[in-house]
Amino acid sequence: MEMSKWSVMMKDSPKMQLSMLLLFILASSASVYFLERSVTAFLLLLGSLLLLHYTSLSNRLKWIISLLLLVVIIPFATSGGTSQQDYMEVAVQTGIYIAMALGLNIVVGFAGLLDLGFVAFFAIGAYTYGIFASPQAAQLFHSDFFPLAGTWFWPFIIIGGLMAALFGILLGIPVLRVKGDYLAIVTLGFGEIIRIVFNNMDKPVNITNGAQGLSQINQPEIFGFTFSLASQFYFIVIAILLIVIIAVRRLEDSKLGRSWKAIREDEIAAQAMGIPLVKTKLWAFALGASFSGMMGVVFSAKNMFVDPSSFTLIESITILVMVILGGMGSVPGVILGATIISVLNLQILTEVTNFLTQNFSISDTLSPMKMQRLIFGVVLVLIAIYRPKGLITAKPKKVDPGKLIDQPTTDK
Amino acid sequence: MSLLELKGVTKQFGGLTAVNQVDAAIKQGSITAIIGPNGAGKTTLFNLITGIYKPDKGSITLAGTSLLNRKPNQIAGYGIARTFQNIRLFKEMTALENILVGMHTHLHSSLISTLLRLPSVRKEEDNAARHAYQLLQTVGLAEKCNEQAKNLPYGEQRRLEIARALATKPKVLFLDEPAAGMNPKETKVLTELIIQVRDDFDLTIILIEHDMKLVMKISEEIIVLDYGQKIASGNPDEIRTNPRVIEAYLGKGAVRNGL
Repeated sequence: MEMSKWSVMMKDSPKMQLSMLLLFILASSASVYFLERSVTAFLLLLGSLLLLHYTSLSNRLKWIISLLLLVVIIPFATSGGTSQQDYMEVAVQTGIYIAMALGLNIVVGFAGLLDLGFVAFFAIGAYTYGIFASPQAAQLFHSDFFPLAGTWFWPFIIIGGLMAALFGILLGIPVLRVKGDYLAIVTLGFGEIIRIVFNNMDKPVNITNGAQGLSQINQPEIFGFTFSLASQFYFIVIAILLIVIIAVRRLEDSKLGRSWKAIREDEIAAQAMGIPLVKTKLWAFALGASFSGMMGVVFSAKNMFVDPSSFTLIESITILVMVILGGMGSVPGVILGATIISVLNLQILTEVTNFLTQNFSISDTLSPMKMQRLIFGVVLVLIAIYRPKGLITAKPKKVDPGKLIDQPTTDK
Repeated sequence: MSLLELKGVTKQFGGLTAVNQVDAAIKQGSITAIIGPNGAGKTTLFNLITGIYKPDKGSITLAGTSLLNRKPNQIAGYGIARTFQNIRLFKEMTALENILVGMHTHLHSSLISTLLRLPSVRKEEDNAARHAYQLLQTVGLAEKCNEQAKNLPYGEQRRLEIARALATKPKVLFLDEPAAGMNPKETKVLTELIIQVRDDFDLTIILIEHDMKLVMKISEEIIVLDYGQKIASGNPDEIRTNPRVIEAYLGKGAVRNGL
């Protein structure tokens, strides 16, 4: 009785929610700050973003709080101990995966086109910067102009995105003639082809340096400041991610976003409404790919190294699992899904493995880190049975009829 | 001159001639019904006109422009809208969003201005939503604007589909069995709606329908198909008394009972 009364009060009062949320953020960030390497505290801090999603605060307040959390509180809270770079490494990789998952969500979630080779676009972005910002380009073009300095990183975020979009269209033109299962198989093939091409483009002309990969890629630089630490890359990733999220949000409720969903629901009816199928699908491929390409550039600049082994099928599957787990077509869902899977992959599995090997001396073959695929499989099966629409289901946009009745502005 | 003209339209599926040498001239502003037994080629004829199938022979012109070799979306752009026999709404989208999709060809915001959310985009979206709401009012679904299409009852889905077709601002509206599965009361409402939208939106309407009461009441012209061929055409009185039509479709009993 007491409990239910309390929950009703929480539901009705945004002020209560806000104060509880702030208390939660304070507690979790303090524990991240003071405790050494506490994964639990870090997860709780990230969880505050999820809590924020479920509050009934205004959209503007939600944006302000989440920006504060991401830009100020999380970097500060993790700076307390010696393990800041570990946390930030996880945060950077999570951010990269979120952007990719949001890109794939356009293709799979909005437009309903199953793409099993999505990591190819990430690879294209990574190689675009990798080739030109490493000694590879100097060798290739016999020019002192290369490798490009770190200041070129910034325009290359755009160029990487455009290259990925271009390949998205090139892939799309032949591929979009097929539908459903066939499309999935063809895109899977495309993903593998890109990886194998990069793996073999070291002869006759050495473009990608083959399986050895590209090394000594220049790190980003601005006004003489070089980005080298994860905690510095964190801000680049957050900035790109914000742009991506805003872009996806705006696309979702636009003419183009509605066309994607219409095609997903019924191609014939969509065409009868005047929607061109191929063009609309190509936009989905191009825009989705461009997010992935941009993050590819960040990836290669951060690691200073790329090789084809980073772009295997399991990566494409991982991104797809993120989208399905979170909820196809649901932007907050996909962000949650990508966060859960990356944190699980990067942190929880590693921690559990460390814990087990230290305390129980289990054999290496049984370590949870090796069970990644098993865990993905189990996650997918459970989701398919219990939450087929994902953790946060995509909700259709609701409008206020009151605003639509009167006609203050004239038509035309 | 007639608005929509078919000459010798023929479509074969393997050995079966689904539509055979059909000629028709549809007058601007008229309501025309296409009737005939199941499998007579009525829906195939719709699909040929709206570009889902390509005719093997013949010509189809809308106000003098040929519709041959055009994609369905281009034909929609010329001003031909349709509903479907087995209701093809965008099920996960709300009623309002379904209408907004119908307005696709009349929204012009570019991708860049959408991403920047320029004031012009917002204005266009606001106006579109308002216009969509009016269309929902026209078919009596205004209070269902936030309802997902899949959650609407059958009769309302049919009306939503008509509103969605109207959103494309068509010249010609094709209705494929609009009254199928409706009870007499719903059919009556629908009949009035069809006449009303014809008048309000200045439309030419072509419908396929098995409900002879509805057909005889609203059509000015009736085309009868049987085995892909046009066996008769004319006004309701002519069709009612045409012996070939009675033989092939209406049946003697129906005529005796005062169709």
